[in-house]
Amino acid sequence: MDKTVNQKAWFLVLPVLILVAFSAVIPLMTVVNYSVQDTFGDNVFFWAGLEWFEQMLRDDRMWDALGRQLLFSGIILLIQIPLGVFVALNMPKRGFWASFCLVVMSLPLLIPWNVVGTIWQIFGRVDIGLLGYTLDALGIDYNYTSDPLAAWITIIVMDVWHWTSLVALLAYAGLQSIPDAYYQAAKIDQASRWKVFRYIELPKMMGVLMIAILLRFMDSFMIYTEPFVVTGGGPGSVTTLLSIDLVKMALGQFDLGPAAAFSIMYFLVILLISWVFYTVMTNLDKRDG
Amino acid sequence: MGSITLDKVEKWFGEVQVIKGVDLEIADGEFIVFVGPSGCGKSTLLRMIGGLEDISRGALMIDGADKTAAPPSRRGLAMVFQSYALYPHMSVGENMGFSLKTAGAPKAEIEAKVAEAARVLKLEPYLDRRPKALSGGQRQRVAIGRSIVRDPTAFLFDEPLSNLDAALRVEMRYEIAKLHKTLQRTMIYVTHDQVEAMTLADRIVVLEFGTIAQVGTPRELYENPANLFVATFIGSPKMNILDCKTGDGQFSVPGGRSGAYGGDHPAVKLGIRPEHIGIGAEGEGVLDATVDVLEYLGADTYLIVDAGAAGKITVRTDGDTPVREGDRIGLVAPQERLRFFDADGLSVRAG
Repeated sequence: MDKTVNQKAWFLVLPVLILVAFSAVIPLMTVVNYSVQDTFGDNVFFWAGLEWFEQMLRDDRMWDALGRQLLFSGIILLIQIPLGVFVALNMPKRGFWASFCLVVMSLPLLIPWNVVGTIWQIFGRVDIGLLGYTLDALGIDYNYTSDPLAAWITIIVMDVWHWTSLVALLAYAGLQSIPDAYYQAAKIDQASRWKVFRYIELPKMMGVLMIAILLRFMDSFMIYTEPFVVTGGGPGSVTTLLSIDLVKMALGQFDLGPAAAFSIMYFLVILLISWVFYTVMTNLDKRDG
Repeated sequence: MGSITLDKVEKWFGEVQVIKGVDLEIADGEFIVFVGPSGCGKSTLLRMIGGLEDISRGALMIDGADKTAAPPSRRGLAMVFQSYALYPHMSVGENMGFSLKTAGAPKAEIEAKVAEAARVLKLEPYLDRRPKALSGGQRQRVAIGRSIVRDPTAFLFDEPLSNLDAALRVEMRYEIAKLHKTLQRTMIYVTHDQVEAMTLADRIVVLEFGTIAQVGTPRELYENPANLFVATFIGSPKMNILDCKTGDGQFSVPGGRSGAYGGDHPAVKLGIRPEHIGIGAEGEGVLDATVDVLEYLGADTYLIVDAGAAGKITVRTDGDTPVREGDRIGLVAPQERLRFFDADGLSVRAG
């Protein structure tokens, strides 16, 4: 049998192709373009090959930033996932207070990121900030502009405050989808609170939790605005996470070639980790359906 | 060992009373069915016995001990749910053994009990599967297996067959009946399906708006319903209810003839089951009527006849009845099959 050849179909995909080209492919290609060329000004470019990639891979600066980044993402995941699940487990299941909790918890998610940064920047200040002043008054030596530990604690607490709600809301949605009959069966089976969580709630939440982990990982891995507003990457470079470092390099020092190589590797790391997550998630889905 | 006593049990949801004082004695080994229309409180009552709902007032005794406030796990009961409620992340065997595991039973004992229950329910080939890989009937068997493993004082079934298709329902009904014979345990079974109720029950409890309308064997309920509600609820097609007048040892039906009446006080309604009405020539029996619709069902034919002032009446007759639509017939009702009800809807006993 002959296949029907219908070339007209290409025209139907064309708008999408154009849109994707302008929104993703062309910008990405300009970055690729910078990453393999060198310039000495006047818009004159020379072929540099993989020189920038080699330079970046040998440079401790990117590895340090990557280390800090992984530490940051790891810590906030370790705090936000259990805390979000804990909050979700303790939220009212229905009625007025359920809606009330949902609205209150959504509030941090609705605040623009630079505002969140500003809020915590001021909140933590020793001279006028409620938190900073109080801690100082209590005799605790807290100053996020000079003490690395204080700076880290500040940006972590800020991220936890900003994003735990998202995990809690997702976990709550997962919990709500568990039919009452399971809990009743568990009661008859005299399962303890822990066993109910371990054998009913946690398996039923697994799907949304994986999504929560993936979202929180990607978002935290790309975080820029909030820590930039609060600490600007300092003191020194202790809170210079990947994207802050990247911006410093690209716009601060105008090292376009290395910065482009940096961003492509940054992009590949995110892609790789997301792919791993995706594979794990789909396997989980297949197993439990 | 499995007797259950309900003493003036009430359930209030805020200001709303859903169970309005239920007294019931269930003997050890008895198969009791709670039946009633939706919203009558039958499931709520079962859950109260199981401990999933609090008992607002009254007392619950299981095996002679007061269990009114005991948590579900301390009542020694097992429950089978309409939705099965099998834990989806555990295999069939783990599902069945879960209650023993939570109770901290040794592994060998769990395995032995699960194997025994699987043998009784023919679930042996499926022990390692997940519930979602099973058919509805198999899932229901696992749910029953889970309760058997607990070795309970009594089994509670909450509409266990409602999610199954008609053929499977008949099969599982038979299996539950057999199970009751084998285990000889008290079973309380909630259903809205009167066929399940009639076939399974030693005694049926008919509930209406949170009160017991009647308790009795299936035969008692069918033959001597205590009130109009039970009369029309039990039996299919349902009992015909006609207006009637009584006096001087006679009853009369509007537009019809009269007959002997032996009630101890006046009745206003007359009930007669479709299968107890005989067909005679016009002028015979209690009433004359015109055949309106003929419903042929194979073994039976249902006639829906128009009896004028007395209204529509259903008659159940042979599949090969010679009667045709439009025929004028006389409805013959044997005296001993007539049931009379007074103004309160209660059955009138012979005086």
